[in-house]
Amino acid sequence: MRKKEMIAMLLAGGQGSRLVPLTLDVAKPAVDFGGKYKIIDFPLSNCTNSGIDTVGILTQYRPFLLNTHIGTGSAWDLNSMHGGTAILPPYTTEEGGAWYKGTANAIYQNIQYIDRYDPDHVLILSGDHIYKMDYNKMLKEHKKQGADVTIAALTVTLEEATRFGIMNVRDDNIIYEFEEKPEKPKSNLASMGIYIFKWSELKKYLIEDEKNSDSANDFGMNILPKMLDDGLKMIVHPFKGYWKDVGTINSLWEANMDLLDENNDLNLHTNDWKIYTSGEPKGAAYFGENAVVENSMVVDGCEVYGSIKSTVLFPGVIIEEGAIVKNSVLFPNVKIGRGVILDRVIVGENTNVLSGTHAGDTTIKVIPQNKTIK
Amino acid sequence: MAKSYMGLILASQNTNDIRGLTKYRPIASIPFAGRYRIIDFSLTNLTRAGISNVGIVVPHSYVRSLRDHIRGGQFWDLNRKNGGIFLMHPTIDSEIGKSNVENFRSNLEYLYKSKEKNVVLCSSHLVANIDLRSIIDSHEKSGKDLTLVYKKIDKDIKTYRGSTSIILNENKEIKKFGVVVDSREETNISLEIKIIRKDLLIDFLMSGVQNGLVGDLNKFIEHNIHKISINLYEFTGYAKFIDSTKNYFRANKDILKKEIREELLLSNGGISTKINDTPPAIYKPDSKVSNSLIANGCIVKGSVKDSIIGRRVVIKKGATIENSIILQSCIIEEGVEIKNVIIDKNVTISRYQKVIGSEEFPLIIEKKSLLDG
Repeated sequence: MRKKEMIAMLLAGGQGSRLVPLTLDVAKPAVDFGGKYKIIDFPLSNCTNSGIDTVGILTQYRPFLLNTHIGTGSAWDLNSMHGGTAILPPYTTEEGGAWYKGTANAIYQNIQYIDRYDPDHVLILSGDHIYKMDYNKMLKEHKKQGADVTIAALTVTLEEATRFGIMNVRDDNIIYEFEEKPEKPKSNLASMGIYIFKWSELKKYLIEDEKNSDSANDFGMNILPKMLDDGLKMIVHPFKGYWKDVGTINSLWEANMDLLDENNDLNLHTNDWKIYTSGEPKGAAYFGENAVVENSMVVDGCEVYGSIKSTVLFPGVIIEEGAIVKNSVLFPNVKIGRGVILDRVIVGENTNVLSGTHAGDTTIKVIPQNKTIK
Repeated sequence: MAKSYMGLILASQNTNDIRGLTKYRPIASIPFAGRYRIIDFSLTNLTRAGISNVGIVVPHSYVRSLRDHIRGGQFWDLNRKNGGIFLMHPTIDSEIGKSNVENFRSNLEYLYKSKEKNVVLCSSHLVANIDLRSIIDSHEKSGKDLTLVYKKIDKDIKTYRGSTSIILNENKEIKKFGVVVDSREETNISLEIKIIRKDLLIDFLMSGVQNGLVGDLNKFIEHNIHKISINLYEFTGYAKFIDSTKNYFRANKDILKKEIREELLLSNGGISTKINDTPPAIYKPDSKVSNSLIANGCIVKGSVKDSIIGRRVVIKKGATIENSIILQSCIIEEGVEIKNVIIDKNVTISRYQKVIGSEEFPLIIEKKSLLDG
């Protein structure tokens, strides 16, 4: 096996309980986003665009669709002879088996996989966020500072800060305190859950943490505070740009709506940081004689005969004549019948909405997948 | 069953009548229907039938575009250890390199080495979604040396002008081949899909070259029809040859019709093509689109009617596009008026320009080379 400077470990086992019913059949990283993508496409594309060619993907909750989506990793150019993607579910050993207990335990259980590549550093990612980021820049900073741990950080408002792991830093970006979801935050630097660790250090701490039966085996709660206590060098890597946790129905909807703003920071239309996804190609979108399309996103494989406004369509969606769809997100192969009116709705995959008016209000309404609404 | 069949696609068609779009590429890799290249139909037809070894007889020059599209064949599941995709180039020292026969002779080793016993031959300029499995079935049941796929044409006959016509006798056997010239008389045309035993094909090639025959491989097999038994298979679906600018324009416009779009692009599991990782298209509040196909990556602020728009085309405010085909990565600036025009890749039409062709003779704006200032 060729030695790697850094490999990535992508935590993709999240259940996404606040996204129910959209996560009843799939893990959160496999939830659809942005007209043709799944959430996990963003960290995977970031990896390949950052020059990381080895990504271990840790799965646990309903992995089937996620595994199918990732396949050989070729869609992200990660079907490499030396590395590439590896799906890492929990497994059994001669001593029995166990589910991944926490984020740190998931990595602990895969020490053997990481050691195969003998990396100097390990990048820990989660499959829950929408953002573009050059992890290589972060690695450069990590190496330049000679840090043991580098944590990507986002500037949030003080109100939001209560929901995040907050880092209090000195002028030189060195962290002196780490507070998980503080009631009275002292700073607004929030952890994005993206860490680069010196592998030799992390491995030691993972093994030690595993021996502690009181530990929740979690990076934010256990590993990072312990490292800080022990005086390891921990720095922040400030991130500027679009970043969204799409953990709730409303935030998932908002993130989709953000794409309709031409000047949005995510900008999927640039060529220099492509987001890749897998799936079969479909023909160009067709618009009927009387179609009305305003401020919307439409992808190959759609047929629009009715009217859409501020709406995001996924492949295979059909909007019949006379239907009016506003402020909505329609997942793959959704069919909207004649005369149907939708406003502030997310419709799950393969659902036919054949009649009626469906509208959300302050919370977005979800019509679940694989249904026929008559 | 399909494991004993290999595919051969002839991609060296005459480009005299479609010059504007073939200056830098063969007909095979002309963009089509906003998303595809013309050869995608033949490649998909073959691979979907379970054929996993496909040779492409490429033209003498301008192969770069085709090669860039096909890559390692992965988009058609042709990145195989056994078989896969094989581009058959004319050899440099061949004096008559433009002829398929000479090309084949110099690539005979590929045919010999392939372990399949039979060959499905087709042409890269045919736009049709065909279930080849049922044609292979018919060929096997017939026990004949050659199966030939034809289509009866009784309308739009002029769009098949120049195609090979098949003249049958009273017993529905082939009497001879001709060429479609008359636009009134209904006839049967060859779709240039043939199934033949490999050893027979090699025999025809060897003896043909030895006897000084040059020309298209189809003509070559046709020359020998009296020596072999023939099974005829009638295809009744949509099938057009892209052999002229007019036919290219018509076939694109045909895709705007629902039943043709469904048959060509959706039936039998759809048509495979190279994946480009283009984001969805964005439509701004002022956009107006009607009876049109618009591919991924476009940003539309103007109006589009009865047209086919390729990937990553930007249509700015106040621009109007009618009855036109715009290939990928063009920029149509503010206030531009376009009607009855085919615009090749990477062209920018500057503000308030009017570009208008006639319905009968669409105007072609040629591809911009990145090296031109």
